[in-house]
Amino acid sequence: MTTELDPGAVTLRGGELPWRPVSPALRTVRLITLFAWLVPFVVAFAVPAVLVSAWFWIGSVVLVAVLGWGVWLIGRQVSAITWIELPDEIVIRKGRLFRSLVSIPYGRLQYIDVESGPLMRSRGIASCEFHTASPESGGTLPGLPLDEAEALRGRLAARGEAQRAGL
Amino acid sequence: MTEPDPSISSVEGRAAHDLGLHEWQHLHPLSPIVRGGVVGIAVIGYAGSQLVDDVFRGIGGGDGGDDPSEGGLRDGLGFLFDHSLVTSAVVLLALLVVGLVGWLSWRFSKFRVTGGQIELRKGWLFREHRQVPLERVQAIEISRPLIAQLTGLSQVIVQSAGGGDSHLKLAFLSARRADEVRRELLALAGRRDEARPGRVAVPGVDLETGVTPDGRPTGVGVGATGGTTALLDPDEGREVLRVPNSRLFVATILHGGTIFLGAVALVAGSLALAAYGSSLEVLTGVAIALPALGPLAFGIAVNRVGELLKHGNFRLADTGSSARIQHGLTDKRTTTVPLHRIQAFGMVQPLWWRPLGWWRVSVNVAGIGHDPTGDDGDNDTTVLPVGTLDQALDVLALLDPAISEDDLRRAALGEGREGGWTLVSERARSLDRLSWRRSGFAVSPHSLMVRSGRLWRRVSVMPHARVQSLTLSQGPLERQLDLATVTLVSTPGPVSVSIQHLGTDTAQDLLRDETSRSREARQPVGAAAARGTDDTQHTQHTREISGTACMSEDLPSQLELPPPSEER
Repeated sequence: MTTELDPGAVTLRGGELPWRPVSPALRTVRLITLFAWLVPFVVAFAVPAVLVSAWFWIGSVVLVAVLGWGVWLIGRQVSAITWIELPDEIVIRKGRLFRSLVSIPYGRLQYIDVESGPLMRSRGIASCEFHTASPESGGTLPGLPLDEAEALRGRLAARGEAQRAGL
Repeated sequence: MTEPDPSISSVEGRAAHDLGLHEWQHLHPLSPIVRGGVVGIAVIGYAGSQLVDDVFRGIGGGDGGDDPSEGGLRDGLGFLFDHSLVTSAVVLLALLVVGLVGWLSWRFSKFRVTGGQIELRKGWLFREHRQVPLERVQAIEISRPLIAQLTGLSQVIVQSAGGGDSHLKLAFLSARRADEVRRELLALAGRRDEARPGRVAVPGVDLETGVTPDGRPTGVGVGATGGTTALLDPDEGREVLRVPNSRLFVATILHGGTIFLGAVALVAGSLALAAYGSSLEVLTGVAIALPALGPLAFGIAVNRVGELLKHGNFRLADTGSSARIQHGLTDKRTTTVPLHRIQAFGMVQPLWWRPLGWWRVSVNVAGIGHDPTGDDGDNDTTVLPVGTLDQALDVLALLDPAISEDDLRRAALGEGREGGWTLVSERARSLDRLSWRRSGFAVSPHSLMVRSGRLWRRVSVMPHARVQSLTLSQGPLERQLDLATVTLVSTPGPVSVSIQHLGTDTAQDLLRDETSRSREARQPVGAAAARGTDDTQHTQHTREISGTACMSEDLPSQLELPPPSEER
């Protein structure tokens, strides 16, 4: 399926290649995490604001603003993650303000971790982490549907074995 | 190091049984004392000072009554006499406990070599059992910390794939025993390697038993040994160069920190001269300024002395398949760097060395993890702490003859585009005021060279075949200027290969070209044509391994991941 793709067209942004997005469920998961972290603090400020002094509302307002910013940021970040399987490497792009692109040759893959916590699993997604001999390769693909993550791992493991190269 | 015993250096025909390593071996009885040496000395010192304190308080304090001079002394002696039994009992008890703990620690620390593994057991209450498969052994070093040196002991450090904490230390053995054990382990590890390609059992070695053909995953590690000869290397090899300690001393002094201190002293001195007008007061001024910077000066001094201790008596030897580095002024260490496992090369010339034309050369070695948090004494991969450009080029030519010396010279000293260099974008001038004329990259059939820094020159070389992965990144400022940064990811180590502020188009082209170049370099000639069925690919692959001695075949097993049902 990927054989007709031209690896030459890899660009930091846009491009003609059929870049694939991650599951929108990742956005939901990250939003839930964000709310789970911040809402208790908002409440913690709101209670003394009612009981003690109205000045405490400042804390709540700031936190709500942070929350709003986080919601906006998560939306942008998740939609910025795209990836593609090329004939010889997997390419992952991330970020809007700080854009990054990592290209990992299949022959360099040492092993692949598929992880999903309870929250991610309840939304049916998992994250794939690609390990090379260097810990800095930083290839993580969050938010793939569970079965797709498994399939991807199987595919890449097979390709990695076929294209395996020495260090 | 003791002189190699000829009977031992002919390890070829020996098996583990000769040294009895297949049975549990104890370490040297003195090792708990040496290991606890520093702590022990501190405790004894503290106890001693307490005792002396008590005695003098007894002498001085007295009963404060009638005749302090006579009565105090008598009472003091009386105190000491009265309590000497208690004191000695306590001291004796403490010594007994320490001795018991030491004895237990010795009693329960054992190692053996069996079933293709080196095993080390430690601890009585908290037991620790560590084992390293012989085929995962990357290097075996002997190290002698100062206290060990005084007692004639050595420790054997077995480095394996998987970074810093996967080392196994046999601390301590007698110097001679350590040498024997090292040779034996080298021979066994080397033999395992030889035996592996065909999985043929070697006569006389029963190590095949109990070894799973597939290695276990080693975390982020890089797999096992590749070369057969890298470890089969009892002799010291041909000496390539020594770094005179005098030069190292000058180079160590020429450092940002010491120069800063000198400048401060100079400023303080001239201020004092202006204020007092006498050269004697100048000295006072200097003397005042330095302690004011006390902690800073101390830190710098410790750092510099550490550097000197680490790289003192530096000696580089060539054994054909690996480079052997001996270094350490007090703590003598030997590092073996297998040439085929070097991932990237780096040359640096700090500003202060520039008038003298000195360079430092270091490399990234797969399996010798680099610990940026400090103690990388076991993992130091500096192959030339300080040397002239010619020496640096010689060392690099030794480590990888495929790197062209002319290219390197141009990379080290050159500027501009001649010689096929692609420079950073013109748009980066505002960001790289000094170095935009120099920073850039050049491509040779064998490797990618990166140079940067006009005042603080840096050169990195990465063979195409060694590229792990590639990244392209762009921050907000870079995006406005339409620039991007390309990084060729290597295994952990002191060298990083990154080109900042290329034009975005150039960066994308470089990423694309380097991806295909490294793909070509990884594959053996003709493999591209044979890329059809998986079978042909696999045979090509194994041929590559035996051809270039690059890597073991136990890596594929690392991709055999646990079945999906086992996942969280």
